[in-house]
Amino acid sequence: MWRWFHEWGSPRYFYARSGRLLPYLAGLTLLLIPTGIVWGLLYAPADYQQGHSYRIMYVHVPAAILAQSSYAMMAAAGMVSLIWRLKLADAAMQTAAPIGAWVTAIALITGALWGKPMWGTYWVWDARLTSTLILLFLFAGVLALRQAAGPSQSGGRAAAVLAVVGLINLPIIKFSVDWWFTLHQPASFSVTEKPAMPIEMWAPLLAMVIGVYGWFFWVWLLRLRQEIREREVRSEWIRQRYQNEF
Amino acid sequence: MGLLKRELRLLLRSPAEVVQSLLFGVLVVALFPLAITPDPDVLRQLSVGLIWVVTLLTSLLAADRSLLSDFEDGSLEQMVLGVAPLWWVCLVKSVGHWLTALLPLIVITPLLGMMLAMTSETMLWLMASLLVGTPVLSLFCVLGAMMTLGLNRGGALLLVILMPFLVPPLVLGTQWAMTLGQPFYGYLLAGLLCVSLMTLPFATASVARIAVGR
Repeated sequence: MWRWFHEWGSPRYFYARSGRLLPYLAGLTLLLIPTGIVWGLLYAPADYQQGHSYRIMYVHVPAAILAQSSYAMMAAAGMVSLIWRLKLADAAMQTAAPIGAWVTAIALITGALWGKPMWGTYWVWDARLTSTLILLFLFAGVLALRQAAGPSQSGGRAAAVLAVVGLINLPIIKFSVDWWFTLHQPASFSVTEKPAMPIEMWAPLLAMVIGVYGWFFWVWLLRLRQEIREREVRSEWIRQRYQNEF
Repeated sequence: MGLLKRELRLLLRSPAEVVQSLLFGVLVVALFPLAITPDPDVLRQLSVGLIWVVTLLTSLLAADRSLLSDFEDGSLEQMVLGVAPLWWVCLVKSVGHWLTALLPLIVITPLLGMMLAMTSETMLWLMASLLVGTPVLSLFCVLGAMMTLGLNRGGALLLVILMPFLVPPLVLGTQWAMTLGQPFYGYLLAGLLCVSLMTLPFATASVARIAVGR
Protein backbone atom coordinates (compact mmCIF):
# COMPACT_ATOMS: atom_id res chain seq x y z
CA MET A 1 0.00 0.00 0.00
CA TRP A 2 2.74 2.45 0.98
CA ARG A 3 4.82 1.53 -2.01
CA TRP A 4 1.85 2.20 -4.22
CA PHE A 5 1.34 5.54 -2.53
CA HIS A 6 4.95 6.61 -2.97
CA GLU A 7 5.02 5.52 -6.57
CA TRP A 8 1.92 7.47 -7.46
CA GLY A 9 3.20 10.46 -5.50
CA SER A 10 6.18 10.81 -7.75
CA PRO A 11 5.42 13.15 -10.64
CA ARG A 12 7.37 11.05 -13.09
CA TYR A 13 5.56 7.78 -12.31
CA PHE A 14 2.23 9.55 -12.15
CA TYR A 15 2.84 11.24 -15.47
CA ALA A 16 3.68 8.00 -17.22
CA ARG A 17 0.82 6.00 -15.69
CA SER A 18 -1.89 8.65 -15.97
CA GLY A 19 -1.16 8.96 -19.66
CA ARG A 20 -2.50 5.43 -20.10
CA LEU A 21 -5.72 6.29 -18.27
CA LEU A 22 -6.54 9.23 -20.53
CA PRO A 23 -7.99 7.30 -23.50
CA TYR A 24 -10.32 5.32 -21.22
CA LEU A 25 -11.62 8.44 -19.53
CA ALA A 26 -12.01 10.19 -22.86
CA GLY A 27 -13.85 7.18 -24.26
CA LEU A 28 -16.18 6.99 -21.26
CA THR A 29 -16.94 10.69 -21.47
CA LEU A 30 -17.45 10.81 -25.22
CA LEU A 31 -19.67 7.75 -25.08
CA LEU A 32 -21.87 8.66 -22.12
CA ILE A 33 -22.36 12.42 -22.40
CA PRO A 34 -23.62 12.47 -26.03
CA THR A 35 -25.78 9.41 -25.28
CA GLY A 36 -27.22 11.02 -22.18
CA ILE A 37 -27.80 14.38 -23.90
CA VAL A 38 -29.48 12.97 -27.02
CA TRP A 39 -31.50 10.41 -25.09
CA GLY A 40 -32.51 12.86 -22.39
CA LEU A 41 -33.26 15.82 -24.60
CA LEU A 42 -34.96 14.05 -27.51
CA TYR A 43 -36.27 10.65 -26.49
CA ALA A 44 -37.08 10.66 -22.80
CA PRO A 45 -40.80 11.20 -22.18
CA ALA A 46 -42.00 14.67 -21.25
CA ASP A 47 -42.92 15.26 -17.63
CA TYR A 48 -46.65 15.29 -16.95
CA GLN A 49 -46.38 18.46 -14.87
CA GLN A 50 -43.35 20.32 -16.13
CA GLY A 51 -43.62 19.48 -19.81
CA HIS A 52 -40.38 19.75 -21.69
CA SER A 53 -38.69 22.28 -19.48
CA TYR A 54 -37.73 19.56 -16.99
CA ARG A 55 -35.14 18.39 -19.53
CA ILE A 56 -32.60 20.90 -18.25
CA MET A 57 -32.37 18.46 -15.35
CA TYR A 58 -30.07 16.35 -17.53
CA VAL A 59 -27.46 19.10 -17.30
CA HIS A 60 -28.37 20.62 -13.96
CA VAL A 61 -28.45 17.55 -11.73
CA PRO A 62 -25.10 16.09 -12.87
CA ALA A 63 -23.48 19.52 -12.52
CA ALA A 64 -24.87 19.98 -9.02
CA ILE A 65 -23.72 16.52 -7.90
CA LEU A 66 -20.29 17.02 -9.42
CA ALA A 67 -19.95 20.49 -7.87
CA GLN A 68 -20.05 19.14 -4.34
CA SER A 69 -17.85 16.14 -4.91
CA SER A 70 -15.27 18.18 -6.82
CA TYR A 71 -14.92 20.38 -3.76
CA ALA A 72 -14.43 17.30 -1.61
CA MET A 73 -11.81 15.97 -4.02
CA MET A 74 -10.00 19.31 -4.10
CA ALA A 75 -9.96 19.49 -0.30
CA ALA A 76 -8.79 15.88 -0.06
CA ALA A 77 -5.88 16.74 -2.36
CA GLY A 78 -5.19 19.75 -0.14
CA MET A 79 -5.15 17.57 2.95
CA VAL A 80 -2.71 15.13 1.35
CA SER A 81 -0.43 18.00 0.36
CA LEU A 82 -0.52 19.36 3.92
CA ILE A 83 0.16 16.06 5.63
CA TRP A 84 2.69 14.43 3.31
CA ARG A 85 3.96 17.56 1.54
CA LEU A 86 3.45 15.93 -1.84
CA LYS A 87 4.13 18.32 -4.68
CA LEU A 88 1.77 16.34 -6.81
CA ALA A 89 -1.13 16.82 -4.37
CA ASP A 90 -0.56 20.56 -4.39
CA ALA A 91 -0.69 20.57 -8.18
CA ALA A 92 -3.83 18.40 -8.07
CA MET A 93 -5.56 20.82 -5.72
CA GLN A 94 -4.61 23.81 -7.77
CA THR A 95 -5.87 22.29 -11.03
CA ALA A 96 -9.12 20.96 -9.54
CA ALA A 97 -10.20 24.36 -8.19
CA PRO A 98 -11.04 26.14 -11.48
CA ILE A 99 -12.89 23.11 -12.88
CA GLY A 100 -14.93 22.81 -9.69
CA ALA A 101 -15.72 26.52 -9.73
CA TRP A 102 -17.00 26.31 -13.31
CA VAL A 103 -19.10 23.25 -12.58
CA THR A 104 -20.66 25.04 -9.60
CA ALA A 105 -21.34 28.08 -11.78
CA ILE A 106 -22.98 25.84 -14.40
CA ALA A 107 -25.15 24.22 -11.71
CA LEU A 108 -26.27 27.67 -10.55
CA ILE A 109 -26.94 29.01 -14.05
CA THR A 110 -28.88 25.97 -15.24
CA GLY A 111 -30.75 26.03 -11.95
CA ALA A 112 -31.71 29.65 -12.55
CA LEU A 113 -32.85 28.85 -16.10
CA TRP A 114 -34.93 25.97 -14.78
CA GLY A 115 -36.32 28.16 -12.03
CA LYS A 116 -37.73 30.72 -14.45
CA PRO A 117 -40.42 28.51 -16.04
CA MET A 118 -41.06 26.54 -12.84
CA TRP A 119 -41.11 29.17 -10.13
CA GLY A 120 -41.52 32.30 -12.25
CA THR A 121 -38.20 33.74 -11.12
CA TYR A 122 -34.54 33.11 -11.77
CA TRP A 123 -33.44 33.28 -8.19
CA VAL A 124 -34.97 32.66 -4.80
CA TRP A 125 -33.13 32.60 -1.49
CA ASP A 126 -33.90 28.98 -0.97
CA ALA A 127 -31.60 26.98 1.31
CA ARG A 128 -30.19 24.78 -1.44
CA LEU A 129 -29.57 27.64 -3.85
CA THR A 130 -27.90 29.68 -1.16
CA SER A 131 -25.59 26.89 -0.04
CA THR A 132 -24.58 26.21 -3.66
CA LEU A 133 -23.82 29.91 -4.05
CA ILE A 134 -21.66 29.78 -0.93
CA LEU A 135 -19.90 26.72 -2.35
CA LEU A 136 -19.01 28.89 -5.35
CA PHE A 137 -17.60 31.51 -2.97
CA LEU A 138 -15.53 28.82 -1.25
CA PHE A 139 -14.02 27.88 -4.61
CA ALA A 140 -13.47 31.58 -5.34
CA GLY A 141 -11.63 32.01 -2.04
CA VAL A 142 -9.27 29.11 -2.73
CA LEU A 143 -8.64 30.34 -6.27
CA ALA A 144 -8.07 33.94 -5.17
CA LEU A 145 -5.66 32.96 -2.42
CA ARG A 146 -3.76 30.60 -4.71
CA GLN A 147 -3.49 33.30 -7.39
CA ALA A 148 -2.40 35.98 -4.93
CA ALA A 149 0.26 33.79 -3.37
CA GLY A 150 1.96 33.15 -6.68
CA PRO A 151 3.54 29.88 -7.75
CA SER A 152 5.38 29.26 -4.48
CA GLN A 153 4.85 26.06 -2.54
CA SER A 154 3.99 27.98 0.65
CA GLY A 155 1.14 29.76 -1.12
CA GLY A 156 -0.17 26.36 -2.10
CA ARG A 157 -0.12 25.22 1.51
CA ALA A 158 -2.04 28.27 2.73
CA ALA A 159 -4.66 27.57 0.06
CA ALA A 160 -4.73 23.93 1.14
CA VAL A 161 -5.47 24.94 4.74
CA LEU A 162 -8.29 27.12 3.44
CA ALA A 163 -9.72 24.26 1.39
CA VAL A 164 -9.58 21.86 4.34
CA VAL A 165 -11.15 24.35 6.77
CA GLY A 166 -13.82 24.90 4.11
CA LEU A 167 -14.49 21.18 3.87
CA ILE A 168 -15.02 20.94 7.64
CA ASN A 169 -17.22 24.02 7.51
CA LEU A 170 -19.30 22.86 4.57
CA PRO A 171 -21.83 20.90 6.68
CA ILE A 172 -22.01 23.75 9.21
CA ILE A 173 -22.73 26.25 6.45
CA LYS A 174 -25.25 23.93 4.90
CA PHE A 175 -27.12 23.30 8.15
CA SER A 176 -27.11 26.94 9.20
CA VAL A 177 -28.57 27.94 5.85
CA ASP A 178 -31.14 25.15 6.10
CA TRP A 179 -32.26 26.31 9.53
CA TRP A 180 -32.33 29.91 8.40
CA PHE A 181 -34.75 29.05 5.66
CA THR A 182 -36.87 26.24 6.98
CA LEU A 183 -37.88 27.70 10.30
CA HIS A 184 -38.99 30.99 8.88
CA GLN A 185 -40.62 30.77 5.54
CA PRO A 186 -43.27 28.33 4.49
CA ALA A 187 -41.92 26.00 1.85
CA SER A 188 -43.60 27.40 -1.21
CA PHE A 189 -41.90 24.95 -3.49
CA SER A 190 -39.51 22.14 -2.97
CA VAL A 191 -36.68 21.07 -5.17
CA THR A 192 -36.17 17.93 -3.17
CA GLU A 193 -39.46 16.17 -3.68
CA LYS A 194 -39.70 14.90 -7.18
CA PRO A 195 -42.30 12.50 -8.36
CA ALA A 196 -40.81 9.05 -8.73
CA MET A 197 -39.32 8.92 -12.17
CA PRO A 198 -39.88 6.11 -14.65
CA ILE A 199 -36.80 4.35 -15.92
CA GLU A 200 -36.90 6.08 -19.33
CA MET A 201 -36.31 9.32 -17.47
CA TRP A 202 -33.61 8.38 -15.01
CA ALA A 203 -31.51 6.12 -17.23
CA PRO A 204 -30.24 9.05 -19.36
CA LEU A 205 -29.71 10.99 -16.13
CA LEU A 206 -27.55 8.19 -14.77
CA ALA A 207 -25.57 8.16 -18.02
CA MET A 208 -25.03 11.90 -17.68
CA VAL A 209 -23.93 11.68 -14.04
CA ILE A 210 -21.34 9.00 -14.79
CA GLY A 211 -20.38 10.89 -17.95
CA VAL A 212 -19.66 14.16 -16.15
CA TYR A 213 -17.54 12.34 -13.59
CA GLY A 214 -15.56 10.86 -16.48
CA TRP A 215 -15.30 14.32 -17.98
CA PHE A 216 -14.13 15.81 -14.68
CA PHE A 217 -11.36 13.25 -14.21
CA TRP A 218 -10.36 13.55 -17.86
CA VAL A 219 -10.04 17.35 -17.77
CA TRP A 220 -8.44 17.22 -14.33
CA LEU A 221 -5.78 14.80 -15.55
CA LEU A 222 -5.13 16.90 -18.64
CA ARG A 223 -4.67 20.03 -16.56
CA LEU A 224 -2.64 18.20 -13.94
CA ARG A 225 -0.30 16.79 -16.58
CA GLN A 226 0.15 20.25 -18.04
CA GLU A 227 0.91 21.57 -14.55
CA ILE A 228 3.46 18.79 -14.02
CA ARG A 229 5.10 19.61 -17.35
CA GLU A 230 5.39 23.25 -16.32
CA ARG A 231 6.73 22.55 -12.85
CA GLU A 232 9.16 19.83 -13.87
CA VAL A 233 10.37 21.54 -17.01
CA ARG A 234 13.93 21.49 -15.75
CA SER A 235 13.97 17.87 -14.67
CA GLU A 236 15.76 15.17 -16.59
CA TRP A 237 12.84 12.89 -17.34
CA ILE A 238 10.75 15.60 -18.94
CA ARG A 239 13.70 16.54 -21.09
CA GLN A 240 14.19 12.98 -22.24
CA ARG A 241 10.54 12.48 -22.89
CA TYR A 242 10.14 15.55 -25.00
CA GLN A 243 13.63 15.95 -26.40
CA ASN A 244 12.39 15.86 -29.98
CA GLU A 245 10.19 18.85 -29.34
CA PHE A 246 12.76 21.03 -27.60
CA MET B 1 -0.17 35.43 30.07
CA GLY B 2 2.62 37.80 29.14
CA LEU B 3 1.39 37.78 25.58
CA LEU B 4 -2.06 38.77 26.67
CA LYS B 5 -0.63 41.66 28.70
CA ARG B 6 1.42 42.79 25.73
CA GLU B 7 -1.63 42.71 23.49
CA LEU B 8 -3.64 44.75 26.00
CA ARG B 9 -0.84 47.26 26.45
CA LEU B 10 -0.55 47.74 22.70
CA LEU B 11 -4.27 48.24 22.63
CA LEU B 12 -4.28 50.88 25.36
CA ARG B 13 -1.49 52.82 23.70
CA SER B 14 -3.25 53.10 20.38
CA PRO B 15 -6.79 54.20 21.13
CA ALA B 16 -6.98 55.51 17.54
CA GLU B 17 -7.69 51.98 16.32
CA VAL B 18 -10.60 51.55 18.67
CA VAL B 19 -11.97 54.93 17.69
CA GLN B 20 -11.61 54.06 14.02
CA SER B 21 -13.74 50.92 14.41
CA LEU B 22 -16.35 52.85 16.37
CA LEU B 23 -16.51 55.67 13.85
CA PHE B 24 -16.79 53.22 10.98
CA GLY B 25 -19.73 51.50 12.66
CA VAL B 26 -21.58 54.70 13.50
CA LEU B 27 -21.03 56.27 10.09
CA VAL B 28 -22.14 53.22 8.12
CA VAL B 29 -25.26 52.83 10.25
CA ALA B 30 -26.01 56.52 9.69
CA LEU B 31 -25.94 55.91 5.94
CA PHE B 32 -28.80 53.43 5.96
CA PRO B 33 -31.63 55.79 6.97
CA LEU B 34 -30.33 58.22 4.38
CA ALA B 35 -30.20 55.58 1.66
CA ILE B 36 -33.37 53.63 2.46
CA THR B 37 -35.94 55.66 4.34
CA PRO B 38 -36.22 57.50 7.65
CA ASP B 39 -39.44 55.55 8.34
CA PRO B 40 -38.89 53.95 11.80
CA ASP B 41 -41.07 50.91 11.00
CA VAL B 42 -38.93 49.94 8.04
CA LEU B 43 -35.69 50.63 9.90
CA ARG B 44 -36.83 48.57 12.88
CA GLN B 45 -37.40 45.58 10.62
CA LEU B 46 -33.97 45.87 9.05
CA SER B 47 -32.04 46.92 12.16
CA VAL B 48 -30.78 43.54 13.45
CA GLY B 49 -29.43 42.48 10.08
CA LEU B 50 -27.89 45.86 9.34
CA ILE B 51 -26.03 46.05 12.63
CA TRP B 52 -24.78 42.47 12.21
CA VAL B 53 -23.51 43.23 8.70
CA VAL B 54 -21.81 46.42 9.88
CA THR B 55 -20.15 44.48 12.70
CA LEU B 56 -18.96 41.86 10.23
CA LEU B 57 -17.46 44.52 7.96
CA THR B 58 -15.75 46.24 10.89
CA SER B 59 -14.29 42.91 11.87
CA LEU B 60 -12.88 42.36 8.37
CA LEU B 61 -11.54 45.90 8.24
CA ALA B 62 -9.59 45.44 11.45
CA ALA B 63 -8.29 41.97 10.54
CA ASP B 64 -5.29 43.08 8.48
CA ARG B 65 -4.23 45.55 11.11
CA SER B 66 -4.17 42.98 13.89
CA LEU B 67 -1.18 41.11 12.47
CA LEU B 68 0.54 43.44 10.05
CA SER B 69 2.73 45.40 12.44
CA ASP B 70 3.81 42.21 14.22
CA PHE B 71 4.66 40.68 10.87
CA GLU B 72 6.60 43.68 9.64
CA ASP B 73 8.76 44.24 12.71
CA GLY B 74 9.54 40.55 13.10
CA SER B 75 7.68 39.94 16.38
CA LEU B 76 5.55 37.33 14.68
CA GLU B 77 8.63 35.39 13.69
CA GLN B 78 9.84 35.53 17.29
CA MET B 79 6.46 34.26 18.47
CA VAL B 80 6.63 31.33 16.06
CA LEU B 81 10.11 30.50 17.33
CA GLY B 82 9.32 31.30 20.97
CA VAL B 83 8.41 29.06 23.89
CA ALA B 84 4.73 29.92 24.13
CA PRO B 85 2.64 27.42 22.16
CA LEU B 86 1.73 28.91 18.82
CA TRP B 87 -1.98 28.14 19.10
CA TRP B 88 -2.03 30.20 22.29
CA VAL B 89 -0.36 33.11 20.47
CA CYS B 90 -3.02 32.87 17.77
CA LEU B 91 -5.80 32.73 20.35
CA VAL B 92 -4.40 35.82 22.06
CA LYS B 93 -4.24 37.60 18.70
CA SER B 94 -7.92 36.79 18.16
CA VAL B 95 -8.77 38.10 21.61
CA GLY B 96 -6.86 41.28 20.82
CA HIS B 97 -8.73 41.68 17.56
CA TRP B 98 -12.03 41.17 19.34
CA LEU B 99 -11.19 43.68 22.09
CA THR B 100 -10.07 46.40 19.67
CA ALA B 101 -12.55 46.05 16.86
CA LEU B 102 -15.68 44.34 18.10
CA LEU B 103 -16.18 44.87 21.83
CA PRO B 104 -16.34 48.70 21.50
CA LEU B 105 -18.93 48.31 18.78
CA ILE B 106 -21.01 45.98 20.96
CA VAL B 107 -20.82 48.52 23.78
CA ILE B 108 -22.29 51.26 21.58
CA THR B 109 -24.92 48.97 20.04
CA PRO B 110 -27.66 50.76 22.03
CA LEU B 111 -26.69 53.95 20.22
CA LEU B 112 -26.77 52.24 16.84
CA GLY B 113 -30.08 50.65 17.79
CA MET B 114 -31.55 54.04 18.63
CA MET B 115 -30.48 55.33 15.24
CA LEU B 116 -32.44 52.47 13.68
CA ALA B 117 -35.47 52.77 16.00
CA MET B 118 -35.05 49.38 17.67
CA THR B 119 -37.16 48.26 20.59
CA SER B 120 -35.22 47.69 23.80
CA GLU B 121 -36.06 43.98 23.95
CA THR B 122 -34.68 43.30 20.47
CA MET B 123 -31.67 45.39 21.39
CA LEU B 124 -30.86 43.23 24.40
CA TRP B 125 -31.05 40.05 22.33
CA LEU B 126 -29.01 41.69 19.59
CA MET B 127 -26.29 42.49 22.11
CA ALA B 128 -26.41 38.95 23.46
CA SER B 129 -26.12 37.50 19.94
CA LEU B 130 -23.22 39.83 19.18
CA LEU B 131 -21.45 38.86 22.38
CA VAL B 132 -21.68 35.16 21.58
CA GLY B 133 -21.27 35.43 17.81
CA THR B 134 -18.54 38.01 17.25
CA PRO B 135 -15.71 35.97 18.84
CA VAL B 136 -16.28 33.48 16.00
CA LEU B 137 -15.80 36.36 13.54
CA SER B 138 -12.55 37.33 15.28
CA LEU B 139 -11.18 33.79 15.16
CA PHE B 140 -11.88 33.51 11.44
CA CYS B 141 -10.62 37.02 10.69
CA VAL B 142 -7.26 36.30 12.31
CA LEU B 143 -7.05 33.03 10.36
CA GLY B 144 -7.77 34.89 7.11
CA ALA B 145 -5.35 37.69 7.94
CA MET B 146 -2.65 35.13 8.62
CA MET B 147 -3.31 33.54 5.22
CA THR B 148 -2.98 36.82 3.35
CA LEU B 149 0.01 38.16 5.32
CA GLY B 150 2.62 39.67 3.07
CA LEU B 151 0.51 39.36 -0.06
CA ASN B 152 -0.34 43.09 -0.20
CA ARG B 153 -3.77 42.49 -1.65
CA GLY B 154 -5.80 44.37 0.93
CA GLY B 155 -9.27 43.74 2.17
CA ALA B 156 -11.03 42.47 -0.93
CA LEU B 157 -9.09 39.21 -0.93
CA LEU B 158 -9.85 38.77 2.76
CA LEU B 159 -13.58 39.18 2.11
CA VAL B 160 -13.50 36.64 -0.73
CA ILE B 161 -11.68 34.13 1.42
CA LEU B 162 -13.68 34.59 4.59
CA MET B 163 -17.22 35.24 3.39
CA PRO B 164 -18.37 31.59 3.38
CA PHE B 165 -17.08 31.06 6.91
CA LEU B 166 -18.79 34.14 8.28
CA VAL B 167 -22.21 32.99 7.05
CA PRO B 168 -23.04 30.59 9.91
CA PRO B 169 -22.42 33.07 12.78
CA LEU B 170 -24.26 35.76 10.81
CA VAL B 171 -27.29 33.55 10.12
CA LEU B 172 -27.50 32.09 13.62
CA GLY B 173 -26.80 35.41 15.33
CA THR B 174 -29.40 37.41 13.43
CA GLN B 175 -31.99 34.66 13.77
CA TRP B 176 -31.38 34.42 17.49
CA ALA B 177 -31.85 38.17 17.94
CA MET B 178 -34.85 38.41 15.64
CA THR B 179 -36.68 35.53 17.32
CA LEU B 180 -36.01 37.27 20.65
CA GLY B 181 -33.78 34.58 22.00
CA GLN B 182 -35.27 31.36 20.77
CA PRO B 183 -32.99 28.84 22.55
CA PHE B 184 -32.55 26.68 19.43
CA TYR B 185 -30.44 29.35 17.75
CA GLY B 186 -28.71 30.31 20.99
CA TYR B 187 -27.47 26.77 21.58
CA LEU B 188 -26.27 26.45 18.01
CA LEU B 189 -24.45 29.78 18.14
CA ALA B 190 -22.81 28.85 21.46
CA GLY B 191 -21.87 25.46 20.03
CA LEU B 192 -20.35 27.14 17.00
CA LEU B 193 -18.32 29.36 19.31
CA CYS B 194 -17.04 26.37 21.31
CA VAL B 195 -16.04 24.40 18.21
CA SER B 196 -14.34 27.46 16.70
CA LEU B 197 -12.46 28.18 19.92
CA MET B 198 -11.20 24.63 20.08
CA THR B 199 -10.12 24.24 16.46
CA LEU B 200 -9.35 27.56 14.77
CA PRO B 201 -6.30 28.61 16.85
CA PHE B 202 -4.61 25.39 15.68
CA ALA B 203 -5.43 26.07 12.03
CA THR B 204 -4.15 29.64 12.42
CA ALA B 205 -0.96 28.34 14.02
CA SER B 206 -0.26 26.04 11.08
CA VAL B 207 -0.79 28.95 8.67
CA ALA B 208 1.46 31.16 10.81
CA ARG B 209 4.35 28.73 10.26
CA ILE B 210 3.75 28.94 6.52
CA ALA B 211 3.52 32.74 6.59
CA VAL B 212 6.75 33.16 8.52
CA GLY B 213 8.55 30.68 6.30
CA ARG B 214 7.53 32.62 3.20
